[in-house]
Amino acid sequence: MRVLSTVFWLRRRLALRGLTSIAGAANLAAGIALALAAAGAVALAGGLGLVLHLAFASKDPDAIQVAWTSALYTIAFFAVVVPIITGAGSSAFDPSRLLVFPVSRGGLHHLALVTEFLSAPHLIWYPALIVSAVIGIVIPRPQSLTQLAVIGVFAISLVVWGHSISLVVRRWLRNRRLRELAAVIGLMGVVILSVAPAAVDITADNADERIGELLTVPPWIEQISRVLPPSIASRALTALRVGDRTAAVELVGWLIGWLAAGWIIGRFALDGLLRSGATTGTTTTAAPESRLGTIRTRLIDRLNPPVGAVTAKELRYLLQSGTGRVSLLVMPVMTALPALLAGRKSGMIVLGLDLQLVVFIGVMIYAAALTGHLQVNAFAWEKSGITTYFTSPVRPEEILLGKNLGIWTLNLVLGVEGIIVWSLVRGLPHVATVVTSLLVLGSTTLLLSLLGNFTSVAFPESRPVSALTSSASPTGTLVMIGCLLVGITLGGAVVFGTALADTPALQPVLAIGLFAAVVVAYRWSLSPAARVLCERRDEVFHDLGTG
Amino acid sequence: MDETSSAAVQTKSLLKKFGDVVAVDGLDLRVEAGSFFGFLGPNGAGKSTTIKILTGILQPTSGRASILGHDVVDDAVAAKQLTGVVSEEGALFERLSGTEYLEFIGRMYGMERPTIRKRSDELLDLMGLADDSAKLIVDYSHGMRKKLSFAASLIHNPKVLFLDEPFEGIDAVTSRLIKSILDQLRQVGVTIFLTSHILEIVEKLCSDIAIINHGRVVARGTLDELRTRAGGGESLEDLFLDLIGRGAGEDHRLSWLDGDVP
Repeated sequence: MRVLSTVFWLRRRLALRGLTSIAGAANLAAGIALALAAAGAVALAGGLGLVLHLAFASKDPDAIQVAWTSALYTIAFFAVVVPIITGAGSSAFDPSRLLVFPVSRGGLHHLALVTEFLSAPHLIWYPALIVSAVIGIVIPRPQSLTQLAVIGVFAISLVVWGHSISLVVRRWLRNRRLRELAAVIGLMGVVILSVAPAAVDITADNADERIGELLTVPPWIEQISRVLPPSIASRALTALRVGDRTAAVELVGWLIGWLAAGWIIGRFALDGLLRSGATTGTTTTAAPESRLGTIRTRLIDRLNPPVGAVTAKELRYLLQSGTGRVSLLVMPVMTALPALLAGRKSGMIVLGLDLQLVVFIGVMIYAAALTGHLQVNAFAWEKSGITTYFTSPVRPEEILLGKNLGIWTLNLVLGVEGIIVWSLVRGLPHVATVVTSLLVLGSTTLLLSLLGNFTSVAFPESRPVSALTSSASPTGTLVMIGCLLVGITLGGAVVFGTALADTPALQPVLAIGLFAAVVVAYRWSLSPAARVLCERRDEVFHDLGTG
Repeated sequence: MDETSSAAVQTKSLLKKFGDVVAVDGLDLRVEAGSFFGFLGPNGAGKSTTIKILTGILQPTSGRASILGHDVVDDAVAAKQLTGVVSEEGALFERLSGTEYLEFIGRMYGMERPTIRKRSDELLDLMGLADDSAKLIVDYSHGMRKKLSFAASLIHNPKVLFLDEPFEGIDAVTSRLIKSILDQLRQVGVTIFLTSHILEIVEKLCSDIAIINHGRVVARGTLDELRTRAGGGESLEDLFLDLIGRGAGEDHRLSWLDGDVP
């Protein structure tokens, strides 16, 4: 208990210390804003709770079970999947830091689990669960304490599984890069396999009927989902509501079994992590030969040498990073799906707009979004290497430009990927559409670079290169979201403006104008951003832990 | 260039504050070109902060500093072009291989690729890193990192070399290698600015020594001059302890060591 209370004290103290700087206070404000955004999840749960309430009113067991299943899967998504996607997971507590103290590995696992209950990503879905429980259990008569107990076991199993899965993912991602790639490909495979039958179906001739089929879950997914905790919990809750206690007890037994399995997997995963030294960064895995080779290109060679050096370094990091690889793998999937769903015939008009153009521009903005968090936290991976920038005879503008060029190159590759996949699925879009879309991608990317150069210096956060995503500070995240919204607005303005004026030929012209304006703004911002980088270098070193 | 051009390193009233804490307190220092300068002081004396200011990592709160006549703030790019740095932390990009890192550093100094390749091959070979040159730095041992950092500091042929604790945590073989290279550099007129806690090494290598405490120079001169000032015959360690002050607890015995208290 003494160790546990000490860990809580440490986390509280560090959190409070984090608020004593301007950046910390700004991040707190941004964190509150993000929390408000997370309230959307609560609203969603409230909506689901309302559905539950209506289902209870109908007293139809099937309706009750469907309502519970929807609510609990939504909550499970926020509890287990979102923390992994955002790279948060169990990163809030690094048990390896306690290895030097007299705490057993089992004790470390317990500590990690208990502190996991208080980690920020989980705090987001707790209100959603409470809202659902209040509307689905407390308000309806007769009230049932047993149902609340089922919800409690379900909540604990979510935390345990969220923790265990994030540990397993960390173990995979940090030890061997081939496994890392395999894991990512596997994840993508699951996504593709899940949606492919419905997506392929919808492209058939009778699209209206197929939309209905898309919304219908394939039977094999239904079979699998029946044995997952949200389904088990919803069935147990329904059984209790209709008075079938035997079935409920059996189902709760399964739920506890899931909980125990999650606990055991987490324990093994943590043991593996500690044994491999992956949590301490002292991995014993021999590094592979530099299979990426030299990414030197004629283009990079033509750049000013320092800018070229920073760009080449940035590209090497991007291609080694979990984020960069995920982006390259996700882009084809996220292009193919909307391409399949966007209507087969070119020239399909919705609300006066060419649907293909709208979706295609959306895909390009998505490409910018994939690397957005890298733009707003550009020094995340530097560690002590960042001092090299300042000991070298390089102007800070060149550092920022070199880093931006690295991301721009990746975004261009993503854009080209998008065009290729779209062409394969739906045929090459009209040249004007391609030009307009690429210019919107360029404008959004530049806008992110423009503001990201400032947020990277003002709110730097160190992140491991191997993390699946590189989350930025709350402020950086808000800036990123803002930039993407501006990108969408500007792209929309180009498309809408020309559509309203009935002069689609003007689209590329307007897009070029927009792009040129952002280029000028970026160029103008480079010197002030460089000045801020120089002025805040002490703080940047400190925040990145290199002071 | 001003009157300080004959000095490799010069500081005037150099001040660095971190909040209310004064790390470097009006430091005046002049290191002649071609000298092997030892910069000593206890932990927290301001050595690393001074080096960080001189190498452009930190900005001074006030005062001036220059490298071969180039101001480290106003003429930073020119000053850095002349310097090489081995920092205490290593300052490496861990996700580059050894070869890639040297290529990166060479390009940062504006060198041509063929020259970089030729020198990096030679340096990696000399440092015994040739077989590991394709490995990522994240998997290098502490000693390998130190050697790579040292190689990177030399690739552009600097005129002034800053070494912040270069001998910390490395084995005797590497230590001998580094000393040998430093000797070669001294012979061709490179100015070496060294901080180290290992006083025997400073005693052996440095032609000029300054001892700093609380951000100020408390003694300055050749080893012989310092000895003479201190009465002669003493080792550098004794001299250092006399100037800095021996620890108050040097003769203190921990209370629980003599009792039965667990």
